[in-house]
Amino acid sequence: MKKIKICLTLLSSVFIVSCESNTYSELAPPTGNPTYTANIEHIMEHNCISCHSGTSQYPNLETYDGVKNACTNANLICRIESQSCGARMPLGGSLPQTDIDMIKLWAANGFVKE
Amino acid sequence: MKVKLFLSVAFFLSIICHVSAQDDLLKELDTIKSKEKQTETLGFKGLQICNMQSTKLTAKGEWYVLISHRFGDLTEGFENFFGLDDAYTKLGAIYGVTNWFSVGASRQTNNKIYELTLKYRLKTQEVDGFPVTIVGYNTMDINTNLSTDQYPNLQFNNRLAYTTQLLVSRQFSDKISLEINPIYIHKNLYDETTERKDQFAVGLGGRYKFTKRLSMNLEYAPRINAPESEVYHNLLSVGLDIDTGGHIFQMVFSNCQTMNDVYAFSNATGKWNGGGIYFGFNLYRVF
Repeated sequence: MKKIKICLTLLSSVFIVSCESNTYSELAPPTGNPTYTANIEHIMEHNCISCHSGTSQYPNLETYDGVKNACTNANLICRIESQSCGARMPLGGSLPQTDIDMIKLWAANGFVKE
Repeated sequence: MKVKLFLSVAFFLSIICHVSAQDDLLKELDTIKSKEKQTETLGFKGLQICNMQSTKLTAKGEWYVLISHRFGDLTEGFENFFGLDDAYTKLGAIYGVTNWFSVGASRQTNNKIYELTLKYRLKTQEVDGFPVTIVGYNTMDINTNLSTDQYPNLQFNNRLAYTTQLLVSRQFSDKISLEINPIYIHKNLYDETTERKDQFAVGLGGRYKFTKRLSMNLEYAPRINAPESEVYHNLLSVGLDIDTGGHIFQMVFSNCQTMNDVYAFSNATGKWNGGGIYFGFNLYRVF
C-alpha cells in the first residue's frame, strides 16, 4: 500500500507540470507570404543542417542559394512530403504539415529571400 | 421453554464463533504460506526487450550506464553504407533507489530529447503463487530542439511528452518469458495530420533463451487509435541479447530509429515490408 501511495504521488507530481496540448500550426500561425530569412531558414537550421552542412551530405542547406537549389534540382519538397523520391526527410520523423506547407508556398511564390 | 431457547441460541452462536475461529486459523496458515512463497527468477535479462522496457529493475544502489545506437536505414545499401552514415546515439544512466524503484535520465540525438524515467515494481511473480510480475513505467521527454525562431508561440510545456506504461510479464519456463504492456502516450505538441495528442498502444514482447548467455527478443506494439497516415507505423523489432558478464549487449533490428519511448510507440517511420529497417544496439554497464 505504501509503495502504491509513493508511486501515485510521484506520478501526479510529474503530470502536474502540464498536459495542455497544442498543434504546430497554433505555435506558428500560417503566413501568406513566407520568406527565407523569416521562416525557411529557421526550419532548415533546426531540422536539416545537422547533416546537410558543409560537404557532409548533399545538398547543402545552410544558405538561401543552397535551399533554393535543393528545391529546384534535388527534390527537396518531394523528399519532405513523401517516400516516392527516396527516404523521407528529415530522418527519424516527418516535419509537421504546417512546415511542409510553408516550404511549398515559399517555392510556389518564387523563393522570396527577405 | 425459556431455558431451551436460551441453550439453542447459545449453541448456535458458539457454532458461528467456532467456524469463524477456524477461518482465522486458516487465514493465519495462509499468511505463513505466502511468506514462504518463492519469487520466480527474472524472465528478462536486460532492462529492455528491444526498445520496450522489460520488467527487470536495477537492484538497490546499482548504477547502470546506458549507451544505445541506431544506425540509418539498412535497406539503402551502399548509399549510406548500410546506415553507418546516419547514426543516432542515446546516452543515459539509471539508478536503483530501492530494489523495486529506479530513476533514469538520458539524452538522444534526434530532436535533442532528454528523457526522464521512473520504474517501479508493484508485484512479483511467485512459484505456485501470484502468476505475473507487474511493473509501472513512466517517461517524460523534453524536446530541446524546438525553438521560438521557428515557433513564435512556443512555451516550455510544449516541449514535453509523456508515456505511462504497465508492464505485465510472465516467465513460462527457463527459456520463455512473455510480456504485455498497455501504453498511454500524451504529447503537449503534435501534428494533427499524422499524430494524436493522446495515443494508446499495446506492447507485446517476448524472450527466448538459447543458452545461458544468448537469447532472442521480439517486440510488437500496435497502436489502437492511430490516425490514418502513411508516415508512422506500428513498432516491430527483433533483437539478440548477449550477456558478457559485466554488461548486457543487445543487438536490435527495428523499424524505429529514434530511441525514446514516445517516438518508438507512436512515431516509428520504417516499414518492415517497404524500407526503413534500422540496426543498432543497447549496451548496459553495471556499476
